Amino acid sequence: MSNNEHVKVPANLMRRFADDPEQADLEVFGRRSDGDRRGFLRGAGLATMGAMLGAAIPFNRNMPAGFVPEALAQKAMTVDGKDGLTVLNDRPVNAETPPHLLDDDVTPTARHFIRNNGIPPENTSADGWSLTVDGLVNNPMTLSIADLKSKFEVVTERLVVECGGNGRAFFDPPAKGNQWSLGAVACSEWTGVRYSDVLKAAGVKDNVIYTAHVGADSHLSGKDGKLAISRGVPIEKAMNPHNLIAFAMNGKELHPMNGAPLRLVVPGWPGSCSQKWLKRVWLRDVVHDGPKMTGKAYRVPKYPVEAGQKVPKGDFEIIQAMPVKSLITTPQTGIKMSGRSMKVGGHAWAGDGKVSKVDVSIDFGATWQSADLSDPANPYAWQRFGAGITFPMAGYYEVWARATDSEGRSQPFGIAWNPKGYLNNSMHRISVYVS
Amino acid sequence: MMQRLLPHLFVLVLLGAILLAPGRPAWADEDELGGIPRAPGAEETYYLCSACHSFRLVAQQGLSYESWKETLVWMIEEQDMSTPEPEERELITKYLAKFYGRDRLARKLAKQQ
Repeated sequence: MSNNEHVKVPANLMRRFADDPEQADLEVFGRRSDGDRRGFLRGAGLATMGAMLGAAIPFNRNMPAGFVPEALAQKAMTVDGKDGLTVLNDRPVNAETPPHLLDDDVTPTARHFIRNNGIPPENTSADGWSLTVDGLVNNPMTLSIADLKSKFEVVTERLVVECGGNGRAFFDPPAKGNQWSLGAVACSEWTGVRYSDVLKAAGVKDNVIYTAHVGADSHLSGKDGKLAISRGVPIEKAMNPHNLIAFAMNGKELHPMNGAPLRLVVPGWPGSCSQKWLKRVWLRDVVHDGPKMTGKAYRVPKYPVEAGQKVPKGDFEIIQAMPVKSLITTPQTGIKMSGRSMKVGGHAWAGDGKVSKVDVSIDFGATWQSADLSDPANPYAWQRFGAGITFPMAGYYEVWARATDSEGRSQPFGIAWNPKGYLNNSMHRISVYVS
Repeated sequence: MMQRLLPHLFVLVLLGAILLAPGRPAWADEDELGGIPRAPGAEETYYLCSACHSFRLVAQQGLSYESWKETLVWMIEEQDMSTPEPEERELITKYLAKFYGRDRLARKLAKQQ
């Protein structure tokens, strides 16, 4: 274990070494090894590696080229109260969950992904927190969390929240932004009051078409009053009874990185509609134009485009419901097994709708078998699927899962490429080695 | 006596070895730049980007020169990034396109996960 906390372990350390060990040696440590691919040629890189470890390396002459000291390999960034997440970015923190850690029907708080656009607020205490509802309403209100609890019915629901950019890492050409792979999705149990009940109490005026959400996080530039993100939804979506103004997650207070002490949960739509650290809801008679509502943010082209195509700004439209999708959460990809049969399972979800079936394939999509599929615990909860599969002989297999929603729309194999890397609902596949 | 001194001597000798080691000696600049590839523009790029966010956000990307150029415009116009001098801006854009370009092997590897 390193005792030098000031020295940072570079991003993607293990990946860089897996990729090209000797190049990574050079880039990360400035290391060149001796002719026998051991040691440090004229000491190149030894000091750096020593500094990163916080100790000298007595047997450095024996160290193979492209070798990552175990102490550095182990030094992964961690977030208090989170477990097993892959950190994509540490300032601001953005982290996703490997699929096999998302197997629970109710995602534990420790496994819920983190997506930050700005600098999270330092004070996330429920005491003194207030929510203002204003704009085009008959009764502007400022409510404490205690007010919310006493004035409105408190409900608990399992709700899927998925980042609009989940799956961006698979885009080619690459799309800008955090390179989410599969795990920027979760279905935790949220407790709060219905967003629609609060809006009704505020008396939304007839000319309102859109909500605007403001949180307590600040812009990365640190500029006073500049919002990192402020999104909203059409008033019809806001009035859906399954949207919550939530103050609890899995029976406990919210995790600070998931919006403590108060947040919106607007399931089925991009996670950015579920404003964290909620301070204000503002009702408007225009489509909200806060940060990340305009330009290309959370928007896709109005028409299908070729991968890499330039799309004029005016040809984008705001993403609404997320598309049907599924995730295999058991077994973990890369499993090696000696038997011929196994159980495969996971979750499926479908934006504003419901999943009607899930099929699995072990032969690269040539044939499919239908999986058992459970009903959602409540609307907007994900649905468990499971299937028993048998492999005909030893070898390399991929298990693919394909969900279909109640409108008959299925997950595609390929990605409907778009410039900002949103809405990748292509099929999840895992590898299985049968011996 | 020697027994008690030995560990201290050991540390001293090693420290000397580290400090006097040839190649790229000082760790100060190395760790300040978070281990990013050392090439012209590394320092300028690192400090410009990491003023507001971790360099890990940059290191995840794989963008063309044109796309990095656009990203810098967006950062300046919409994200309140300071505007580098034209020469420095060009150096930074080239650095980004070279080390965080479209064909990065790391990206290909990431996709196979």
